[in-house]
Amino acid sequence: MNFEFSKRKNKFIEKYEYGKEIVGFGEYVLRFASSCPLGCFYCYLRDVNLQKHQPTVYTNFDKLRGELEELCRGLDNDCRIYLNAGENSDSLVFEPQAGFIKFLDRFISEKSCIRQKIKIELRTKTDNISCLKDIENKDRFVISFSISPQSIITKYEPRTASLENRLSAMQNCQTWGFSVGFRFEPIILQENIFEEYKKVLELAKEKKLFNEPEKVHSIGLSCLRFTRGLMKKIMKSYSPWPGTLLSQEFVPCPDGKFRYFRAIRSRIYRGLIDLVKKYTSIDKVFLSSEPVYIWQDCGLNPSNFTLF
Amino acid sequence: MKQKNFSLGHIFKMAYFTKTQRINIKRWVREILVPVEAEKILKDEKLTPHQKGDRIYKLFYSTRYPELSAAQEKFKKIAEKIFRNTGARIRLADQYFESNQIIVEPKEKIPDVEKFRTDLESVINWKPVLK
Repeated sequence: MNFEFSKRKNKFIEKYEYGKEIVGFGEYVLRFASSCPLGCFYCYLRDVNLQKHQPTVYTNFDKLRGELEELCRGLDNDCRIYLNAGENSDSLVFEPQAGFIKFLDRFISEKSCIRQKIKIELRTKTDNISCLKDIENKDRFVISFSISPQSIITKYEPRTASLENRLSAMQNCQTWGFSVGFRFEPIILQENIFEEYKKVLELAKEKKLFNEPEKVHSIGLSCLRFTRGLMKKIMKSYSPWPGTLLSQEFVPCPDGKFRYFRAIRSRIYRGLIDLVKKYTSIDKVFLSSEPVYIWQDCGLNPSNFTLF
Repeated sequence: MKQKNFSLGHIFKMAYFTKTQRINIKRWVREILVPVEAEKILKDEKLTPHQKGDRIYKLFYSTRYPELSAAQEKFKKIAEKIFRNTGARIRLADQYFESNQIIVEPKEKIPDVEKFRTDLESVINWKPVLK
């Protein structure tokens, strides 16, 4: 993987902006890289970054340390920090060269007083997990894997790990003592969608990922969404798949993004929630980047949910 | 996907569309199979170019957005029924249903409109808030 190192001038950590009317969880976003080399076809980064240059990984960890300390200083007794390190790049794709995860682990070890108040989510579509094995504070990390049916991975995520490999990586993470997160994201509407996700869940069950519910942090669902700019970019791109991706019924939502028509989204979520319930007793299921009324349409209550 | 023997120029020549409608139709013909009924509408000599334009636009819209257009049609019918029965006009705060609000005018008619809540909820199984 080609990338270069640099120093970050802007802030590493910022409170995540969910968008108008979108249910938020109070997450902070940790930006340690300029872009993601995986280049998934639907990714919002295609609209944000011009991707003319190879990705840059920021390694001025002293600045990051300062920001983390400042953030922790402002914590009241009941406050918790949920740090998402997979928002603008895959969290594991630059490891172990970047050394970013080791830094976070060391930071938590040094600051024993805030240990219980911080949780870091590493989100990935790779199976590059060897860097996680020796982490000391395993209970402070959530290793989330974006999971899609293999047909979707083949079409739209060509540089990522296969479904089988991702689930095996999850299995290893659980064995090493991590709790893992399932992120069914983005859910792309296709004819046999529930059959496809059934296969995914069956495979996950085969790998015994649901055997110990406490080792599953949460299950997140989110349908495909686009910014207007990204839609235009996809239309102009030469991939053979834009027709299938954009030919669905997308409508503008309160936060300015385009999503499937409400009835379609609700139907997908309800179907998948039912499927998940068949395979596991894990009830920490949430919708990512959806307004309250979609949660309600699906029988979920956002006020009962916390990521921490 | 385009159908064989289909010409956008032919449609634009035979039927009248606004500028926005033309832009939308140009986009949609790249995304859908043009319905065969379009040719019938164009050939109908009883229709004016404006009527042809309206019908073709509606046809293309319902082909491109089958679920959304069906829900909008259903809502329209319920709104008409409510207006006939109560004199209240209802409309969606957002035509894509991305809101739980239904605007009722005049507001004093709200209690009557409440009777149609079940009808409204049947559109897409939601819990609308009447405003």
